[in-house]
Amino acid sequence: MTDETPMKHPQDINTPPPPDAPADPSETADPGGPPEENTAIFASQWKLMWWRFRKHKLALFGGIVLLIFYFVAAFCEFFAPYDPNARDVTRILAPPKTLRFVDAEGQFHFRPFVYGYEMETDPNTWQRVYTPNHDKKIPVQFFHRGEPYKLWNLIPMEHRLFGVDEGGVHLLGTDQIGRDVLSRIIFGARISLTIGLIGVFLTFFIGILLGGLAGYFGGVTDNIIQRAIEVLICIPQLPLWMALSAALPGHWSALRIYFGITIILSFLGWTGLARVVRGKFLSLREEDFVVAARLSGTPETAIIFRHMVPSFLSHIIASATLAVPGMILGETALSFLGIGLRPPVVSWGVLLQQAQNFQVLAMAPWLLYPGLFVIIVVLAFNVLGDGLRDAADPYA
Amino acid sequence: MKAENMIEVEDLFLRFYRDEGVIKPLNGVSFQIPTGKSIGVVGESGCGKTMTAYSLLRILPRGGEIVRGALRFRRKNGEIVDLAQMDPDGKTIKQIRGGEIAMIFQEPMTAFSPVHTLYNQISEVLRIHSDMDEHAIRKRVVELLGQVGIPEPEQRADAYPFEFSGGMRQRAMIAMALASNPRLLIADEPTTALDVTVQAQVLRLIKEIQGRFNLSLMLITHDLGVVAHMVDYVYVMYMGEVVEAAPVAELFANPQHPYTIDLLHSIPKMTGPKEALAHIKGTVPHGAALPPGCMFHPRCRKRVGETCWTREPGMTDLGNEHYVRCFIHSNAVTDISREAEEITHA
Amino acid sequence: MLNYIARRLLVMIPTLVAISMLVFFLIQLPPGDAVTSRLAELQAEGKDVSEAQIAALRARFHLDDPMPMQYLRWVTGFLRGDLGYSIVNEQPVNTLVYDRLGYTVLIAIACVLFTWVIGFPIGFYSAIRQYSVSDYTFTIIAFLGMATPNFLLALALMYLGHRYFGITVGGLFSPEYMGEPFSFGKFVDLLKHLWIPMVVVGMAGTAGLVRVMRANLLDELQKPYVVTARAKGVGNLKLIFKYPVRIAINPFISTIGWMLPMIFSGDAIVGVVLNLPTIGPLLLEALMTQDMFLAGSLIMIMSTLTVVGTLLSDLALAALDPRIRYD
Repeated sequence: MTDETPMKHPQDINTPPPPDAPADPSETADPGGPPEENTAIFASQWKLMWWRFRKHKLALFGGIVLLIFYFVAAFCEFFAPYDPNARDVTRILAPPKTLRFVDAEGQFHFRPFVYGYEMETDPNTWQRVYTPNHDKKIPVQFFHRGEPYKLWNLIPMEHRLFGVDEGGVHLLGTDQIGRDVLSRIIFGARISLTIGLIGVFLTFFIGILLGGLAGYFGGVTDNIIQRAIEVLICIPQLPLWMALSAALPGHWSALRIYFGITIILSFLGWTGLARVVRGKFLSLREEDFVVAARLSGTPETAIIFRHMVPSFLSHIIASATLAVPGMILGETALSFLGIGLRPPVVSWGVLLQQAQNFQVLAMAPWLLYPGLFVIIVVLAFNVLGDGLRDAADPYA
Repeated sequence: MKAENMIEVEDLFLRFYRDEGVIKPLNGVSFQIPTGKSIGVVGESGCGKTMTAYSLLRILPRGGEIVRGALRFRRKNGEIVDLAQMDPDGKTIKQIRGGEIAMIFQEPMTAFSPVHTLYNQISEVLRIHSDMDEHAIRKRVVELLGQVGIPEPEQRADAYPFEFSGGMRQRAMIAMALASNPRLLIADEPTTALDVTVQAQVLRLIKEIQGRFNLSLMLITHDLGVVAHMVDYVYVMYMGEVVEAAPVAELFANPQHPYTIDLLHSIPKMTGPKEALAHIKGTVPHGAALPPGCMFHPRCRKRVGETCWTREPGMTDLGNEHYVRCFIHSNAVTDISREAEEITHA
Repeated sequence: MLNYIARRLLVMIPTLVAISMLVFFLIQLPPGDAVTSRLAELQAEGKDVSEAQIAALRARFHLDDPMPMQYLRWVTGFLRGDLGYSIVNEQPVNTLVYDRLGYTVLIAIACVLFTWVIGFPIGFYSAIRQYSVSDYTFTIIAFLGMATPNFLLALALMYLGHRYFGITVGGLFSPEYMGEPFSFGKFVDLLKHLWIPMVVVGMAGTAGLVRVMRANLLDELQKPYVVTARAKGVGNLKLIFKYPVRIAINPFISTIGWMLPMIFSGDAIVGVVLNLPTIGPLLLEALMTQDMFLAGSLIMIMSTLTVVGTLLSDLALAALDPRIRYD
């Protein structure tokens, strides 16, 4: 839409600016003036959006956090110090170890280290008690060479970001059967983070398609889609999710369950978006530039994809960002209850399932760490989405 | 303060301190309105007309500060006060707002609350500014609605704004402004949002009411055509400055500032040979980056030379109450430079 | 207005019919049925179940009837107020629901009050003090609140309560009051336990409401009618309360839509985690054991309540906003 009314700047329209005109003193005397003032003239819609977005420091920060998370998730085999399913029976429910630079004698070490543990079994409660052994320093090695593995199941590799030769470096502790919690969280990120993205992608496909159909054609189509949305939103979400996921056959492979859950999550998410898109289409249909395009004989598909969709695409991207957290939380909740993803698949929800048992939780509160990561990611998506929404539509 | 004046505005400087910089909407505006007379304030959008009005009522948006200048106003009791010095949340300014200075807004659709009846909104003025009882208020509101030409005022009073047409809503707005017998009426583009056919009726109503109640009127518009029939004296504003001021007939007969001349050329003529409608090249610059020298020079067709972009022109008295701010007429420069440091006292 | 209500009521009927069909379809989706689950349960207990018994069970619940018949039987029962029979629990659904309804409603109302009492003032304050330190603080807290899954909050509170206060969080009563008749002591004990589900369940809703209230109020404060009112000499506080708040309050009214079903069921996952005697956990259990009458009826009641709640909130909105009323 901005293409129709490019911003003009006085200086540019001005025919010969006085040849010996001095450097504009008001601008130099006015350092607080918006720097984009002069460049804004020919900026595209996306550039303008980027400029406005840049001002939201918090949103920018959220975006960077997410980039890091997704990067780590993409190369999780490298970043995780252990295989997520590797069990160490000598360390069951071992508490997190602190990464240290300064030892008990107050000496600084350039290479970080962790202390080893001594494990005893409490004679009364039969619980394992771990105490750090200050004599046993285990240096942490970067680009540590350990068990061979295959990156993305394809590329054979041996190096991991960090690791130790012996004794274990469980920065976030271990679980009930001695698996490294940090590694499982890193591997879980791959599942939990992508389920949100794929889910939102599907949601948007359905939402834009149906919302667009309803808004563009109106009449009976609109009516049917509207009623369908009404029925769907009246059924409480969680039971609907649950009933659908309970219907996924138990013999399915992990991958099929994963896609099944993703589809279920998006199956319910599209209604909100469809309503937004429908509203946009309805109002845009009457806009001058659409009418003008139609009068000048532009084909309908071109009107939709060249004129109408771009005018609210930025809006949609912002909504998409804000919809991802819902998906991630949905997966977490379903898996937590044991009807979403199931072990041996590793997702944050699956990991949290272990914390459901209060006895276990009381002994090993670090099993809640996956939840912390859920919060961070959801938070990052929310601030990013907020920033994008403001940038996409400064007047909304 | 001159005895015949209702309000005198002198060297008004307004600044907005925003994250993205300082915006400078008003840069030394001066004008006066004699009691019972009407003035027009003319200029393109963005040249500070509405901000002048908001300054008078001290209802500036967040971040807006009057950094210099006086707004002397003669109250009903004869007392002369400087509105610029008042606490914008104080008791006195609240009595003046709506009680002694009333304002009519541009968009009658959005200027009324959509969820309250007209009666509710008009009677509020009386509740604040008078001590009438409920019965008297009701009578007064109905009387007001009748005066502005709303048919069946007794029933229509209880209707919601969206049940009215644009013209009727603007009449109701006028009724609301008149409710507390103000002395000064500010009409900010009162007809811009209305159908052409209704515009004339509403203007006629404002004119008639101004005469009947001996009001001072400040009519803000971008349309010189409206001004011609409505006011006694005209101020042409550009970028927060008055660039030309003259009695209405003199201004039309003998415009002097290049900006005024351009504005006049952009009014379509009803009579005479057809000619292409002129427009002024360019647009009003952003209030954060004022052009140096004469602020109109980047768009001006009659620049006289270097002076135009190095020095700030002052007001020249041409006689016949006609003033102009242009180097064509004299080399006078302003006594208060808009860049002067002392105005940014914050 | 009457016209509007009548029209809305008429629209409700086909919606409810469609929902009931969908719900019925949903509860048939999982493989197997309640008898198979019950069977597995009995066999796990080491009991031998004969073919004849199975057939008798199936016949008793008409599980071999054609689907449309089963649907009709279920729906007509529903209309008579008979919610069906829980095969797994071996009790009528009505009894199961009745047993838990009281506490569910109690907890839910506490949550709603919490959400409103906390959400409204904070949202209001954040909006009129935009970009102040407190606004930023509340904004951060609200974001955190929206980002935390409430079962996680429940788990964290349980752990903290156990670790630092030595109390078992969860349930509604301490062990010593379990099964006791109601007394003042028991009531106090109830209050001691009630605040945790109230905070946990109310958290996300409150945070969301704060954001919505703030955004709406900021939006309204910029509207021209606010300037008009200011120009009339209306005082600041009255200005905000009479005009923008009146319109910004709409989201609170819209909460009625989800409030009713929540009052009925409570938050299911938190119910499980905190071991609350509410209907939510019952529903989860029913869904997992494929106790279809129980699950179906509960979902149906919740959906109906959503429909009714939406209607009520729409009516309230219409009462507050004449533009809708006259539409």
